[in-house]
Amino acid sequence: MNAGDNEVALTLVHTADWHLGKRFPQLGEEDGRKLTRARLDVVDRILGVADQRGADALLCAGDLFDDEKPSEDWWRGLATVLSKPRARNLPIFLLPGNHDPLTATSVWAPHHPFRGLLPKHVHVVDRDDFSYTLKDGAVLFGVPCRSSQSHRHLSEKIPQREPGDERIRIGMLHGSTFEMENYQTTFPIDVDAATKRGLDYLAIGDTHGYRNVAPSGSPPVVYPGAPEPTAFDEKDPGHVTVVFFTRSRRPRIEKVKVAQWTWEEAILGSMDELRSFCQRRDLVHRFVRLTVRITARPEEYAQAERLLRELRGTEACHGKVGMLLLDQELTLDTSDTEAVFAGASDVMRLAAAMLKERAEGPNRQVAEKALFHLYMLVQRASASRGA
Amino acid sequence: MRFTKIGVENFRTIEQCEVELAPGLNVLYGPNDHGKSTLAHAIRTALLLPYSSSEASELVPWAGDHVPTVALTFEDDTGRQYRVRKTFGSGSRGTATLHWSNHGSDWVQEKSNKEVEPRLREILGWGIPAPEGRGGPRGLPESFLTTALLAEQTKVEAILEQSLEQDRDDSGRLKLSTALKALAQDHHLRIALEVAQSETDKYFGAKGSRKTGAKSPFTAAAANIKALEDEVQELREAIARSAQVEAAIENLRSQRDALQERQHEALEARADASARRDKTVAIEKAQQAVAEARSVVEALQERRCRVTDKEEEFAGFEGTVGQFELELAAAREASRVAENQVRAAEEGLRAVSGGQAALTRRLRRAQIEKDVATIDSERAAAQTRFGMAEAALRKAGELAALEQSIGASERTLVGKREQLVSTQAGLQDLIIRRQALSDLAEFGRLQDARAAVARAEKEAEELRVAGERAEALRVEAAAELGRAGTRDLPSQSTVDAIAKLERELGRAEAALGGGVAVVLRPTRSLTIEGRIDGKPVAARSGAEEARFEASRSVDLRISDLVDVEVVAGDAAAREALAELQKRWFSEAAPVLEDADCADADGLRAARAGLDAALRSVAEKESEAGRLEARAAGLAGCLEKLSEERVELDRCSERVAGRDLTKAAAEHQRVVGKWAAVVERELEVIDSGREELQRRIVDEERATAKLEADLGALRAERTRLIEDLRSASESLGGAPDQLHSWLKTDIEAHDRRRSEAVDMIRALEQETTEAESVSKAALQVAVATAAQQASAVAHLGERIAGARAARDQARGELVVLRTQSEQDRPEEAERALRELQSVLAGLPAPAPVAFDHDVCRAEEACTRLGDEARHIEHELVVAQAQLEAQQGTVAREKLAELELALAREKDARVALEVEAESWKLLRDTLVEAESRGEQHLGRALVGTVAQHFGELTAGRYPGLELGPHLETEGIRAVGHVRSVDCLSTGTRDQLATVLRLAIATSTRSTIVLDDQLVQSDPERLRWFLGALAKAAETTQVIVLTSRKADYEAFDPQVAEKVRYIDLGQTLKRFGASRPSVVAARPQDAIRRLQNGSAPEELQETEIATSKAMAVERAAGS
Repeated sequence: MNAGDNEVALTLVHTADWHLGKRFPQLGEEDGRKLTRARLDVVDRILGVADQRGADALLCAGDLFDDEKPSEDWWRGLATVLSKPRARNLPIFLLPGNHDPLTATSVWAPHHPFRGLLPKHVHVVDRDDFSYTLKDGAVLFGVPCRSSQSHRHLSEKIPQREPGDERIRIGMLHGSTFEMENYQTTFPIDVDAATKRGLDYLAIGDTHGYRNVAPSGSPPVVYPGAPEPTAFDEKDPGHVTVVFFTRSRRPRIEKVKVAQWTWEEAILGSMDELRSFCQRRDLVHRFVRLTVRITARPEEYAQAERLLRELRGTEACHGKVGMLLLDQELTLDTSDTEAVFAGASDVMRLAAAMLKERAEGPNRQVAEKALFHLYMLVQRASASRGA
Repeated sequence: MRFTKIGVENFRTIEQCEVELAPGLNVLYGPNDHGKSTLAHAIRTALLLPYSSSEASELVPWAGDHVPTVALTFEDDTGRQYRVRKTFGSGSRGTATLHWSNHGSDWVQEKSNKEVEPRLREILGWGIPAPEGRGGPRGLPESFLTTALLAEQTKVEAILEQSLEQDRDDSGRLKLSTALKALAQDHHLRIALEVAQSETDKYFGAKGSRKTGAKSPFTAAAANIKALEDEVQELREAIARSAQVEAAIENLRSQRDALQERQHEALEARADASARRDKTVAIEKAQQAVAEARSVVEALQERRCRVTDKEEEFAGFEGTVGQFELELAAAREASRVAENQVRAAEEGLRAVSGGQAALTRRLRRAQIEKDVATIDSERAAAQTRFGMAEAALRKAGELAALEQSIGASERTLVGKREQLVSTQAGLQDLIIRRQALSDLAEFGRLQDARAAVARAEKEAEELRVAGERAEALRVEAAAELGRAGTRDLPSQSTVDAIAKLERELGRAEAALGGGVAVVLRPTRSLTIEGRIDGKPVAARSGAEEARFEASRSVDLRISDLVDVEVVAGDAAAREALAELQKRWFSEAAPVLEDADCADADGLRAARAGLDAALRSVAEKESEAGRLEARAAGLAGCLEKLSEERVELDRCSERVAGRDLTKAAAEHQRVVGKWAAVVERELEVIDSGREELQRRIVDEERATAKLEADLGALRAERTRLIEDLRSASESLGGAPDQLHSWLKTDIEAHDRRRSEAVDMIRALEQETTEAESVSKAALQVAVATAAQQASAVAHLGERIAGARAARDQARGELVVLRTQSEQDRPEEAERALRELQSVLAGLPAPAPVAFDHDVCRAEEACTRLGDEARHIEHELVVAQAQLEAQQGTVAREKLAELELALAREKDARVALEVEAESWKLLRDTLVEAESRGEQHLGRALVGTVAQHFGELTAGRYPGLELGPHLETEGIRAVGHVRSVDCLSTGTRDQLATVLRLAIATSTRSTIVLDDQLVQSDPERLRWFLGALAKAAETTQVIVLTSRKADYEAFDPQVAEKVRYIDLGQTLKRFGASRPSVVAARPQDAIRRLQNGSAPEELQETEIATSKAMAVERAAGS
């Protein structure tokens, strides 16, 4: 531990956008369930980071559930995780976001059983004038979202710093700092909101990639991003932010990766690329959207199908890729069909020739697939004959 | 198909011939020109030539007037046997019959004469169309298959020049296609087709449409897509709602911005208007000051003018006053004259009102008024009596109306009473009919009860008989089972195995055949006993030479010295026999011993007998069971009978003492339907009775009411009569007479009164007219006096006015002169000029503005402020609405769902491609297979080319057969050459190879008429092998003059070959009659045992067969 660390007055772990209970309809049931479960698993790892860094508080800046009325599995599961011994002395602040807004019937409502399950050190930001005094007089302000969308500037509800107030002032909001044209903003947050409200750090949540949106020289306004990715187009997801404050209220930010799954997109245009991809060793915890555009001779076509099957896995064995979203366009090269079927019987050759002719017509895809089936049947017959 | 027998009589050179044919290879041999080809032709004729064909004339033998006759018995692929018999003669001598049989016995004629040929050709399926009658092709029809199977000796190569295309009927092609399809079946194609079909079946139904059931993959895909589309639609709607609110907010914001701009403009406009108004006010004030100054100047000028005018006016008033005083004096004189005239007129009027004439008029009037009072008194008395008479008359009218009502009510009452009597009579009828129906019902029930008792008695009797029959059957079955014995017979499979072992044993013993001869030459007297071919021989003693001959074995015991066993045959045959015997004694003999049977046939018969007995017992047991089950119902039936009897007794008791004669007659009429009739009629009667009873009650009630009403009317009539009588007494006469008299009296009083009133009016008018004349004169005088007085007064007023005006003008003139003396007009004009100068120096507003302009600007500001507050309020509301929407979250979810939907649709496309590809593959394989089948040459050429290659020692390895099995040529050194380039012998051999291939592929009998005469020994040997192989599945009939060529078979093959010496069996004209020879006695035995010998079987054949059977039995 160096001298600078000794000056740390306050340590916070900032996270957001857990989206517990989120579905992944583009995936199969099993894969979807893997990703959904991973969203609760990562909370445990976040608590581990807080524990490891000696955090004084855990700030969870909204969208913790994917829906304002999640099923019992999720709120009960979260309450269980937050009640674990490692989190027992850690003040945890849960902020309703626009996905799980604070409404009379939401999971955050005072009468909801979830609230009853939460231990005392877990605080729900359920008032617009919420404030909490942290270690050494540092104070946290939070304003919850009360609807899925709004044009209200929630930061305006945080009191401004009074003259002579030297406390570390932390703000926690959920909303969008984008001001792009045609971009739908909700709960807008000015990028210099921290400066305007006299805050030393504004912990926000909404977008799923890590970003510090504050202007240079201003107090940080930080999106930690989702701790587990939710889409392929997210930039730099899978982190939490650890914020160390010195006694002079200067924050230092550390980005810590907590995601189990890495989402990746790949486009393969040849058999060599496919073979090379299949040899990668880092695919186990990857969710890959794989686009395959290959034109192959029948034997290569069969090999491609086999390799893709190995990547995807079967009912009998796991695939090489943790999860695979396959966009497959295998085209059969029928240029040398005669040679490929040379050893087959007259009828089989005749059938192959007929299919090849049809593959040159409008129903190319079907005819090619049929030709490939025929090829496989002939190969199987040859194999059995050889055996 | 195979031939079993051919019989020919009087056919060309053949006088008579009859040949039994074996299933495999039949070699019919005989010397040249003995009739072999004629026999072959007879086969063709039997199968192909219509009995009425003109070509039949060529069949007639030269010797004598005979009727050629052919008869062929054959068996089709299903085992059914056919026998065709044709006689070729003119007219009625020509006949044809076709019989069929399932087992070679019980022949049934199926067709005769002209119907034979079409049916025969249908059975054969050789590509020969049905005869076309007169004008059609004549003679023996030809097709590819007739050429292949029955080619004439001289047309060996014809098959090489023929093709299926030349057939006039498709049956030959169909037969060959079917046969070659099986031959050419590609195993891999089969598997591929099965896989493709199996995969296709996953996706498509039997009719080729996609499966839509719950298990269909398409259904699951469609359901997923539908669910996602629904979710997407919901989200899109939510987003649209949100977008709508956002657009509204945006619109409100735009409005607010525009309003704020307008507010700003309005404020500016208000300030501008205020400034302009201030300028305008200043100018106005200046202008007002100028105007005031100017008015001062002008007032001064005016005052000066007014002094002058007033002086003139005062002078005018002075003149006017003098004039008026003159006129006043004249008016006062005229007024005095008018007053005098008035006094004179008043005197005249007083004279008219108070004179003698006026007094007379008043007296006259008093008299008349007294008369009027008298008349009024008398009229009032008459009026009272008239009222009484009128009331009496009204009561008389009421009495008359009452009389009419009473009469009508009495008539109605009479009608009602009649109607009530009628209804009561109808009810009585119904009650009587109901009783009749009750009798009918009781009688019907009685009859039904009697019938039910009879039925129950009959049923009970039947059940009793069934029980007795069941008991008898049980006894019979037990007896039959006892007769069948308790032998433990083996199963049918064991019996078959033993029979098979017996046949094998017989064959093994036959294989030892060759003959054994043992000669014993004792040196001393010895006793010899033993068995020859297993059969014991009589013991002999002595020292003479003894010779024992056997076909297989000799076992001898010589005087307890030695046992000698001599067995024929080679070691292998002996070992095989020993093995079989061992098996026989270990496996078969114990079974036969247990079954107490001598051989397999006995065992089979015993087994069959036992099976038949068991079947019979089972049938009887079954029948007995069925009957017992039926008889089990006897108790119930008796119980039912008892119940029916009780019911009958009840019915009898109910009808006891009742006269049911009519009911019986009616029952006779509606027998069987009485219940329905009774029920239907009772329903009608009950319904009618209720109706009638209800009507009677109603009618009685109506009659009573009528009677009450009539009583009331009568009482009223009495009261009225009494009233009329008292009225007559009061009036003192009849009311109707008094009424008219009083009416006339009243009218007379009225007339008198009217005349008196008129007289009074005339008196009043006279007085009035005299007074009016006097008053008019007075009025004129008064008016004149008043006019003159008014003129005097008027002139007095005018004089006073003129004097006042003159005095006022004088006063004003004094005042004006005083003021004018104080005016300073120069100062006023100077002040005016100064003010005009100030006014000219003020800035002019553009445009001018006034307070109302400023007010309008102020109002605009206020209005815009209100609008701004309104829009702000709407914005707040819209914001709240926006917050109630799910827009942002919905957009995020929508993006994910759209991706998922796209993936599902891609998956569905992939699924469809997969499904369609399997379907396409299946269809393509079927089509490819079909195309391959159409090329029959491809299916057959392999076999033919292989055999031809073997035959020619590889010299001609390639052969080309066309799609219609036409021989296209020989492929050699990469070229196809015509078969003409082959030698005659090779062509013959190629033709025979091709014909054999066709025959074996179609499993049809082939007739080879001396077709291998051109073959060298080497190729002939190959052919023998080929024939033997073909004969394993196909009947082959060889006609040859060289029997020796066909004797070089392997022993096993040779044993199956049937050699038939046509020299013995075929009688030419001029030769002695041969006997029928069955070359294989076992066949005859078998047929005898099966009891299927055709009726044509000659006695000799039967005798031979029996002899062989005996021999065989002895051998075993």
